[in-house]
Amino acid sequence: MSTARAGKCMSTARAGKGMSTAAQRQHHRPLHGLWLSFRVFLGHYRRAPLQAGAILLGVILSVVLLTAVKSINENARSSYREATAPLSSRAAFTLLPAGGKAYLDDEVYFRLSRQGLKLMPRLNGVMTDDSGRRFYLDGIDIIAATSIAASYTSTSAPGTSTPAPGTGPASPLSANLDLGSLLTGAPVLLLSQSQLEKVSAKGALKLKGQAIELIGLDDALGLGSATVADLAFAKQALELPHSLSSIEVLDNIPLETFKQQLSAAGIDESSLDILQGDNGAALTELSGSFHLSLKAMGLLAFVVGLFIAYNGVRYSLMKRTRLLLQLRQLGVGQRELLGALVLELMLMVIFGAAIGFALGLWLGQGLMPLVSMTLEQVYGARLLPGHWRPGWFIEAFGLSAAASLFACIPLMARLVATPLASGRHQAANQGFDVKMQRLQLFAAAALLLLALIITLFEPGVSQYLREQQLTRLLPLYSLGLIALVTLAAPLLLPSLLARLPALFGKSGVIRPGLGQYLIAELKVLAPPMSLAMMAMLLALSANIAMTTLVVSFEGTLKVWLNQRLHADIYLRPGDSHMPQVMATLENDSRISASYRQYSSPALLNGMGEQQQTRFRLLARDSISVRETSTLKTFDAALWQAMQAGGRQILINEPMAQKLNLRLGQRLDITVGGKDVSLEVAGIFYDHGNQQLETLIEETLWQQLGLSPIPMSLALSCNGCDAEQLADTLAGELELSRAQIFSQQNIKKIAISMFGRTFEITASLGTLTLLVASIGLFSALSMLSASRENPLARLHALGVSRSELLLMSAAQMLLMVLATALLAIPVAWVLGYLLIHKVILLSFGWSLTMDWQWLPVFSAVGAALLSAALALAWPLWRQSRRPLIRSLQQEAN
Amino acid sequence: MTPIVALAGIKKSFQDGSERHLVLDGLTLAIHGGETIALTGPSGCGKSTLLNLIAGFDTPDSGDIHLLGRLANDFTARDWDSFRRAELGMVFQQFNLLDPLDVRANIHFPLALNGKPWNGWCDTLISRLGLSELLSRPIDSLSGGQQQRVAIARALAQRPPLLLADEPTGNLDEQSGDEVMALLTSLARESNTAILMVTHSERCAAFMQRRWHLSGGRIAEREQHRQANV
Repeated sequence: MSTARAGKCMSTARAGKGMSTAAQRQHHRPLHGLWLSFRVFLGHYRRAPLQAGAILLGVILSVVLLTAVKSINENARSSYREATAPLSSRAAFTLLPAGGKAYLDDEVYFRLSRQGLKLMPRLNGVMTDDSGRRFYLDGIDIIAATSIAASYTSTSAPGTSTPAPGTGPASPLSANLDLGSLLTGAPVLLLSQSQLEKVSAKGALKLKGQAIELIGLDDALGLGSATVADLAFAKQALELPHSLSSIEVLDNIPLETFKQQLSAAGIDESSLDILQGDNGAALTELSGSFHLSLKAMGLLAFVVGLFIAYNGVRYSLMKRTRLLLQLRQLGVGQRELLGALVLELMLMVIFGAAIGFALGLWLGQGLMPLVSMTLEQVYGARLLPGHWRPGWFIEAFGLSAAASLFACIPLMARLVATPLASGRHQAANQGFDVKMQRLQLFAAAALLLLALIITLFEPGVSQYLREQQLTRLLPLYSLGLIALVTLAAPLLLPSLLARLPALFGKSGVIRPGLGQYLIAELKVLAPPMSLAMMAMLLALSANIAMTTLVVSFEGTLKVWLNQRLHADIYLRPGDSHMPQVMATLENDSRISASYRQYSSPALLNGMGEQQQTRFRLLARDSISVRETSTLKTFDAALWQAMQAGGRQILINEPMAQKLNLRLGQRLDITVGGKDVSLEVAGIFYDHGNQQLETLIEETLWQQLGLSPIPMSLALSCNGCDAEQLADTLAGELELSRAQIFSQQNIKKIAISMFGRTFEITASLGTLTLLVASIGLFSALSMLSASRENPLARLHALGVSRSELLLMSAAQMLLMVLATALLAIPVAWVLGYLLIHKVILLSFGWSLTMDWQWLPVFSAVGAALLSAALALAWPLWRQSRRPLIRSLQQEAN
Repeated sequence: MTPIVALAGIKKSFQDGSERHLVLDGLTLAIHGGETIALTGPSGCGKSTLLNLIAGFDTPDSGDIHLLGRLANDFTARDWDSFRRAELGMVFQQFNLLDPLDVRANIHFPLALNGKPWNGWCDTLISRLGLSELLSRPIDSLSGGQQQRVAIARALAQRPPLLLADEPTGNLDEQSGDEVMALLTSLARESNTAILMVTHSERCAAFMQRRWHLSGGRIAEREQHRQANV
């Protein structure tokens, strides 16, 4: 019985429990609460669309520059791989003349063709038309290029099999071309469509009275500013009937096999320099730092945009504190509220990311010509027109969603967990602000300590990375250092701003009344303004640092060019013309001195990451070597040793950096088919040059039996007008103006060309500052709007509107100035790291840091201007509102 | 004797959607020095609007406002600032204290605005209002009653001829409300300050010498029954 009763009791209990759970379920429907809260929030935004706008603006701005930089970088990288594919660049080997010669004999091409190799002959040079316009001509065998391009087009399509030769789809190159007439040397030039429009606008082209037909090719072929001609016509136009600049071997065969075929064709291997193809890898590596700097700026802008979005979320939550409390008092659970807030944020991120993505692609397209110009001039890379992938949107959305959630969830969670009892909210908020400030200060201190440790150990780590052949990690290492400083500095700012009132209070300069209120209120304003000020600090520092880098670069380059360019006129007539030019100039009374420069590609054996490293060997007469080499470091006995015919070599700074070469080291090099061992006796500055170059004296060049024909000549003329003389000489020596330059002209070209290296990063820096200004504007507008009530209280006590305006302006001025005060040393440190670490490790150039105050004041002025604009609007709005409405408004 | 406030034929209306509501309809009144007046009336009758007009927060559609014998209709923004700064004290239901400042700085603020130092009257105020121990406390650490006492001290700090109060005890319990009202009227008497107080509370109204009832846009004087326990 007892068992039965017990069983009955248990079943009753179970039933009861089941009922209560069902009832609980009935009452507690989390999704229902979430959805209702979400609808209430939507209603809030309908009444306050500016708050939603501020959040959206932040997300949009953060995604815009990130996407723009992504599209630029991705397009550039794919261009390196694909741009010139139809014409060449997929060559297994490129054959160049050895020993300082300018051209190959086309007999080499015929002999190798007879071996059954697939080859692409090229002849490059400057063509001048009858009206004096100059074109850099890229002469290729178009018929061969057509079939190669067709085979690449067919094989590159995924899922298709390789077609039989001649059966593939027509190459874009062959479109509109009369191949038969090309073979006979018909005057036809192929240009990209955009280039064609530029050229055609200036009238028809004629060469020796014969009209030249211009054919435009799709820009997607990546011709850039090059002009392509069939080899037959290029030979005529350049007056080099039996010469080639290079031959590309397109068969994918091992080097040893190729050398055997060279030998079978009866070609002396030493007469050629054989370069192995890398399918764009060298270009990718060369421009890696450039793209890294773009990425860094893009990420910086992303962070700055995110600050704006976070500030917007913070403000909108602040305005909804009472609403959230009421919802909780009505029984909406914390999780439901948090869910509704997260849902709201995600919707904003989706909308913002979509708009930002579209704008980013548009901005990327807009910036592309600038990037394209930089890459083409500095690295010789041509960019394809932009395209985009859906994956980029997913990446941009994912990144902004993750970052927004990471930044906002603690804020939301804190708010939904606010004690329901009135009077405890403010204390809880203040406690949180103080805790956050302490945490940020500790984090900043830890990051700075880490940066200091890294800086102290930098020489050792750099040495180790070089020894381990990990030189590609050096720029990353230095950018990591910059990242630590960039993160630490804004984290220091809230503590600095929070201490401002105390600093003024202790100074005793503040009088009771409005002045006292001004300073006391800073304590209240500092936490909500911290984020916008952090964003401003980042943008200001980055902008000033970038400007310092550009100014330092330009200054160093000018000083270096002044030393490097000692002669008045420089000319490069080409191998075939050089002997005649030299003979003509020898007895020219206008020329007081002439200096010779020789050049040859060479190989350095057993150094660096590869077995053989390509570099260029230059030679100058002994006066030029002494007078024009700006040496960073050199052996004390350098000049005596060189004069005595010693085997000394000077290497440029990028080569010393990249290969970790030191004075006194012996280099085993192969040049002109000979192996020689030379001692490093000096390292010379070579600003703006990323190529590895070395320099020897003319006597040593001659001893090595290299080409006796100089590559270029430098001429001095006492007190002459160099530009005018260059013009006259061009006519007399039958040289195009692309072959003869005055010193002034070279300086101008060099400075404008290398200035472009940083033009795009400087532009991004300015855009980041603009984004930060918008952030400051949005933060100040929101803050000023939330301050209407306290300002109205002051006004009710008799403080005039002009006094209120002055007070608000003074408060913002103090905060912006405090931010700028911190931004200046941070910018100096960043500039120092950019110049002495990133540029040195990435490019191998040591620049003299040139800190100028004008750009600093301009950047700070821009920040103050945006603060002033941000203040003006809410104060103007307030002046149009009856004061009493502000007084009746809730403080929170 | 020139009244401190004299209003004549004041009209004020508000647009509400397509309709226009006349709130004050040719209202005329005069407040003399040291008078304490309770202004009662149903919600939306224009009590607060009347205070706003006297304080210069709003302007009438027609009619004249004289303040301390001067025609306020011609006041510039600067004149209104000077009036509020030197001649007017205000006490609000929401206290409207300056949160960033402590109790002492809040009380001293109107004096400091006029370049005057803390004086013996301030000491009297804080002592009578029981604020001596709270001077260095931040505003948000005070109770509602304490905050309202700080607001009264601030409003009377420079002995203004006129004090406007809008539901000063609306946020306080009965006992605190009575304490605040007793102190307010007693201190106003000592400083010869006239008070015009908007209230719904009979208890509060009973602390005033006169009672005006605002209805239909006009004021009617009602007989004042002083509270027995005051």
